[in-house]
Amino acid sequence: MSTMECGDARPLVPSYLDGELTEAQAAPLRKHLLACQACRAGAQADKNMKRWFAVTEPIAVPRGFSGRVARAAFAGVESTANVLTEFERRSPRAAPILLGPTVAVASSSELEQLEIEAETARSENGRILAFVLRLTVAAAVLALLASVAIQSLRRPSTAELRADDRRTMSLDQALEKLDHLERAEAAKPAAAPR
Amino acid sequence: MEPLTAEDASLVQETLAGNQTSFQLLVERYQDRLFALVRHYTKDPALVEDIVQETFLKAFKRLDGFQHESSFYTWIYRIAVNTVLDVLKRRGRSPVTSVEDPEVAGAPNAPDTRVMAPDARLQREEIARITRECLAEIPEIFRTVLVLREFEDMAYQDIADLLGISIGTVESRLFRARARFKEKLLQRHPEFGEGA
Repeated sequence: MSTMECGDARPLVPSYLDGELTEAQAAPLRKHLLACQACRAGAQADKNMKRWFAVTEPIAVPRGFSGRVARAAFAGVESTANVLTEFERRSPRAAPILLGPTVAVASSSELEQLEIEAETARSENGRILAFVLRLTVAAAVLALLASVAIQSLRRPSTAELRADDRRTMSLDQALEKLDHLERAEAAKPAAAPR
Repeated sequence: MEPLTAEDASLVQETLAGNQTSFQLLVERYQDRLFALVRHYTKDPALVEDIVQETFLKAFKRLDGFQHESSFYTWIYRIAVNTVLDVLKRRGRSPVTSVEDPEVAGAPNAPDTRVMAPDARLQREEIARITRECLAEIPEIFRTVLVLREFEDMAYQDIADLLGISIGTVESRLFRARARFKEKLLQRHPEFGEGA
């Protein structure tokens, strides 16, 4: 017959399952559980619930994390907010490595290689950025030159803008021409009166 | 509590001597365990990363104060837990909800609900997801002891030392935490109740 009462046994079950009881405490409890079906069922239910914690999801550690942290530490970075740039967060090369029970853990040398790749990616991105900047400047200069050229083509000439258009005849020329026309008119035979 | 390994001791010494690679190796050794820990507190991967990073940076700054009495992991683990709680506090999610609050502490008198073990047909990922979702709904004061006990397999005394509370408080919080977890699990998935 069990010497421990159910009321004493039940509060001890969680500690028993967690391995926290001394042998002196655990022995009478075990004896009680063997004898008491209700308490045994309760202990089994507690054990069942612990199985919900037996499985963990794979862990996602971003690539190059250890290298960045070590650099930041030695650079004396105070806050984590400045350590990761938005680009590094969004970069496909900063995609997480899956670590976990079902996934192989990346070795130190692999991580080192990944770190080198990340560095290369950063320098490649720097070169691309410089090239795009140079291209933009060249395009801006070309656009400016083209604009100047177009404007100069469409601009009216100085002669066109002059108030005294040199293409019209001078006063002397006009008088001379008028005089010439009058003489020609006078030389014509007079028309017969009606 | 884990003992300090010779390799960790050596890496700590080399780091203190100015070797950046040694510190990087220390980070590599413990980064996945700290990511796993912090992930129980927030679903935001960027925040998890920030917290783990902040933990390592704090550890680096305090490295000369590391006494070698415990393992490096136990030491950095304590920094990580405190960093998580600090960050959550700063973000307005108080991790120190009073256990005297009847709303929070009401669980011990709840009916003795029982849950079944995860169905063998469930995928591992599915079990982990359900557990994570239920844990996320538990007040942080209870979640912390449950995480430390169930996922980190820490002894009551170590949890008490880490959180600066008594063993009796650890037992009490664990009891409430498990009751809350069962409650959330059965709310979301009544099919896992015994007799369901």
